[in-house]
Amino acid sequence: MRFRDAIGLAVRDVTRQLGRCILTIVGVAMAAALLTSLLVIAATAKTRVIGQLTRGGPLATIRVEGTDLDSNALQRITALPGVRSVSPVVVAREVVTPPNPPTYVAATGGGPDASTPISDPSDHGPRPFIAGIVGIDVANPGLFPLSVIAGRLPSPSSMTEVAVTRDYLERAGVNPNQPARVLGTQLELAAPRFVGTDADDIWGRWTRATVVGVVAQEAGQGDLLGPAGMVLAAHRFTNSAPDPTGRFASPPYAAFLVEAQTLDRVPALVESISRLGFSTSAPQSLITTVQRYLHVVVIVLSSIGLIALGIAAIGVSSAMLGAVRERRREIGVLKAIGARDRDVLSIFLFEAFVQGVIGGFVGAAIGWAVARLVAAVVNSYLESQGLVGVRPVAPLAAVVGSAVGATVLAMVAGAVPALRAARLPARDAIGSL
Amino acid sequence: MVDPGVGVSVEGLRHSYRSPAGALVVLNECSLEIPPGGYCALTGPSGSGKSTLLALLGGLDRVQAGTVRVGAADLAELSGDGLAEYRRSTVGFVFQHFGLLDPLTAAENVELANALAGVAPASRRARAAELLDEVGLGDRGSHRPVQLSGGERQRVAIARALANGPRLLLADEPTGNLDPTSADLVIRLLETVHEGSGCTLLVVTHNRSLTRRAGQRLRLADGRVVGE
Repeated sequence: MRFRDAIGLAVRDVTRQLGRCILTIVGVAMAAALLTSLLVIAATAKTRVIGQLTRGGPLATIRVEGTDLDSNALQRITALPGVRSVSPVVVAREVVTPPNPPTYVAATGGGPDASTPISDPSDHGPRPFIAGIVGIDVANPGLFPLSVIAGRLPSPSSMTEVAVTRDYLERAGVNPNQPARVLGTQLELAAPRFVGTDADDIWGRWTRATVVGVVAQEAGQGDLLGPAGMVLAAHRFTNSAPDPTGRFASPPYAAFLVEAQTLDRVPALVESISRLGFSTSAPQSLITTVQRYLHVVVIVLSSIGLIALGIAAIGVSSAMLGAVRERRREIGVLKAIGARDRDVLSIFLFEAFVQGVIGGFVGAAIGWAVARLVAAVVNSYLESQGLVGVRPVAPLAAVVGSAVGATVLAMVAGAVPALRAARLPARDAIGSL
Repeated sequence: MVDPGVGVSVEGLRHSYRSPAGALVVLNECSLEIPPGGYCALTGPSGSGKSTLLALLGGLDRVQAGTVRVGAADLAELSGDGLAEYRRSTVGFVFQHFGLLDPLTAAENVELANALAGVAPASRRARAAELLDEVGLGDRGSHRPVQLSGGERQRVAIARALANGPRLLLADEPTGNLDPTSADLVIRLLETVHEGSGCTLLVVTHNRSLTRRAGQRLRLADGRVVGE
């Protein structure tokens, strides 16, 4: 029997048992979709994180600290080989005056609104305190170890917007579990400058700033976070005169976050920076640990997908065994008119192939779509946190592999029923002549 | 239409089936001879081994003991593929239950036998049309079995049996499921084929008129040929 004839007969049989075939195909498609989506999600997660690790980002950056971090140091480090970028962190110390009386947004309905004082102005309200305000390049938040808890980051060019940390919430007497309550409140900030030798001869550069976000950050020591330009202005004002108390003066830069071009250049870069006389820290052990965890995640997700494919294979096998039982006499007739065992085998194997290939490729397409949907949901969350979204990574090998794997598995699952059909003795199969 | 017939020689044939009660002997020292181009009617009560004998002659079952020769072929010596080749090239089967494949049209059912023999699509389409014309169903080629009457289905089955030019035509109660008119038509068709081609025709039947018309009549009882 020619291959084309076997295909034609198999296709006829598939269309004859359309309902059962569709159910079988749906089973294969669902399994292939699950495997594809899990593989895509795993690959996306891995690529995203590895991308952060290898191309920069908080986990792969080298933190440079010291009291002698100035423009000259910035230039020298930027010129080192293997450096992708250097992001300076500026910290200024200012007197922070929270609103008194506190006028915070109600966390839930029924409470006071934003304009309503929640208590009378009194000595028991929040008192002014000295705090660090950390200045970073807020246009590139992905370079810094921070995450937005509520609200957003200040606008890059703004001189009147800040974000606060949980420490600020505690100082201001706001429940840390309701961070959104501080959004929109106005702070008074005073950058000090000594005008004499007496510790009391202080001028203040008073500004107002609106709290637009609450963040968790480890870029520098401080309860507030602002655009670099805003903090730099305060820093320059304070450091334009000697500080006899030493409470407000600080080096030009609190730290540099040095992003290596690739992960494998990090050790050499650390050594180069150390040779320049700066202390460094790079989370290399964390990188290795993250890579290991990601590998485990990929294995677990792949296993779940493979288990689903296994269940689908059992479905294919069961459906085809049923088909062999139902078409026993037909198999006998085929043999009576000259079909060899391998002719019958090829007909049933091709049926399994048809179900596998349709289910596999449809499932892979659905899986890819599901992965995109998941990525869209994740993106929505990440962007609401002020972070860069993810693009689903669909390795061709994973998508095609899922489809081909489902096809092969369907054929393997169909092999037992097909062999059973092929080996049926003609006389037994045909029953009564 | 078909090639000249082959002689059939059965010698000391024994065949049994396994059953919970032990071996069930169906054929016991069965011997018979049918000359090339003969027309033989095989009769006997139910359970006498007629269908088993037909299955063994047609290569549907393996010979357990004894000798079955069809032309030059000793069926006991043929392998699985050898038996398939024998069924494809030498034997044509006509079943009581017609044995047509429901998803295929009448023409495709006829073509199927040629397809298994590796005949090219154009040739087998022409051959199927020719055979359906010969059995009087030239205009029913596109009909599926369920759209045909019992007599028409049996005529399609006969056309399929003739597709590869068999030299031995085996029919197991071909009129068993037919009304008298259709049965008569089928009998005459089988005889026309036999006379036209000279193929050997062996018919298992309970139909007395068919038995009377056969050139050779054999009666099977208790697994052996007991006479006419």
